[in-house]
Amino acid sequence: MNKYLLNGLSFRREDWKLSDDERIRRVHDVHQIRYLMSRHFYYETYNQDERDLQENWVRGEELAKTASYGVNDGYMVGLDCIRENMVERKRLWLRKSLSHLAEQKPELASEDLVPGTGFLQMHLCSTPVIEVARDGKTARGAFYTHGFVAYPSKDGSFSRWLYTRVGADFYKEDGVWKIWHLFLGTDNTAVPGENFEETVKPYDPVWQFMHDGNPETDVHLNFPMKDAYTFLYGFSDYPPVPEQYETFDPTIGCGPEGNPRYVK
Amino acid sequence: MRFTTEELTTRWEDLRAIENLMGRRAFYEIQCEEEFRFSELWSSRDDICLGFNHGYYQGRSAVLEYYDSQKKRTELKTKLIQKAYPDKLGDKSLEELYGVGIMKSDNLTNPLVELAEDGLTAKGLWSMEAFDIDLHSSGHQARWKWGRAGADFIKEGGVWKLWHLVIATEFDIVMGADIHKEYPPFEANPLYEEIDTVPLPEPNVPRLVYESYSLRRPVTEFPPVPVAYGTFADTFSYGV
Repeated sequence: MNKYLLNGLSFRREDWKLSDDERIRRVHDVHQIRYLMSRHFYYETYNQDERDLQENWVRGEELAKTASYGVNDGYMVGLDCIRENMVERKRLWLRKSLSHLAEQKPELASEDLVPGTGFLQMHLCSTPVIEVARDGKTARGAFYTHGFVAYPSKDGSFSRWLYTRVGADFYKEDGVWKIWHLFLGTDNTAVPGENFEETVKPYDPVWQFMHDGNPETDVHLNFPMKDAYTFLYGFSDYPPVPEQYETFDPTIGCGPEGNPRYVK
Repeated sequence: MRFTTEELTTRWEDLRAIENLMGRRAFYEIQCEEEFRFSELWSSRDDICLGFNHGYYQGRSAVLEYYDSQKKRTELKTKLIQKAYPDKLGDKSLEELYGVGIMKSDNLTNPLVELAEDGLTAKGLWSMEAFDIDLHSSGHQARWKWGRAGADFIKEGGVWKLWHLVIATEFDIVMGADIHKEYPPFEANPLYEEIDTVPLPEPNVPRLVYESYSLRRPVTEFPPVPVAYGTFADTFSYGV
């Protein structure tokens, strides 16, 4: 039995002996966490990644150091690293994408070419499983997303359907729920308009649009991990499906320490 | 703002009612019932508003006219499908068959609801992943239709109702199509071309509300993400 099943389903919520006020506040906690994830994915679609970090992610100095964003082949650990990738490298990458568009469509006026022109990224987040810790300080979530990405590329254009498993840990900071650890494990991608069976690719990171061999714009993972997520080889027990828990421990979370492939 | 236990319970019931209202609207669309459920879904106010990429139906009479046209179009589609399949459908009444051959599923995800501090109004944003099987003058088409819905809600007599709704379509493509390719229009099918004789009314506030995705399209925040607010006067409207 793996470590995520230690509590099992026999753990009774009634044993926590919560007051009515505590119970309704925990109901609101779950709602706010769902809405937080929605807000995160809207900001992603609206290309507002800095706003996402400012509003939706943990802010405190110590929490910021341990915040992480994981993908199939490793983690960005610390808000500085997340910002370097999600905001700065992405901005450079969008400029490069724009230069491809300008070459292909010289009729476009320069004022029409702003970062994000021709770029679309959507993650539709569903299937929520959310557990708030007994101590009320943290929460854990699992979600599934169907997504889509499209942009101008050097070959003309690029588009993919994305199927992605999401795990997250949340921290209640000054009374507001924030993202602490986020993990997006892409299960597969497929080419719209082509035969799914022929084009579906497992283990193709969602970050592939920033994976084209350019050291300035490729995602830089400061905690790389081979097979951090793949549904091959029976490793699909991560990110974990959260169960009731008393208090947070990194070994059950969605940061690198919670990954079965973690090596210090 | 610190709410009491009782207030928090009411606010949770409000959030559930609002999410359920949007869920109901989506199911009614699947069942081709949306046009019959107008008074259940929408506020009784005159300043209701329904928006799409190409404009807004502003005001009660414009929104009613839109739904009435939807009903007439569905009646006509039903009649034409029955005519095309007499062996399978010929013994049924048009009432029994209403909506046959149409399947529009607005699968709602990414819910985000902000309930005003005063509890009188709310705002919500959803992503929509729809597959849309409908009869056109060229015949049946199956399409992927993704977008977002932004809505204002108002509590009337203790019941939450739609006040303003705007549906921004990100892409609307035939299944199997490449989103970046342009395809020639489908040719009309003589069996179904009568459908074009019953068009939907043009919005009474015609304007480019939202430009669908293309390589030329910049990213814009639309519909806007709702933020916490005290009373409706403090925030923006999803209508016009």
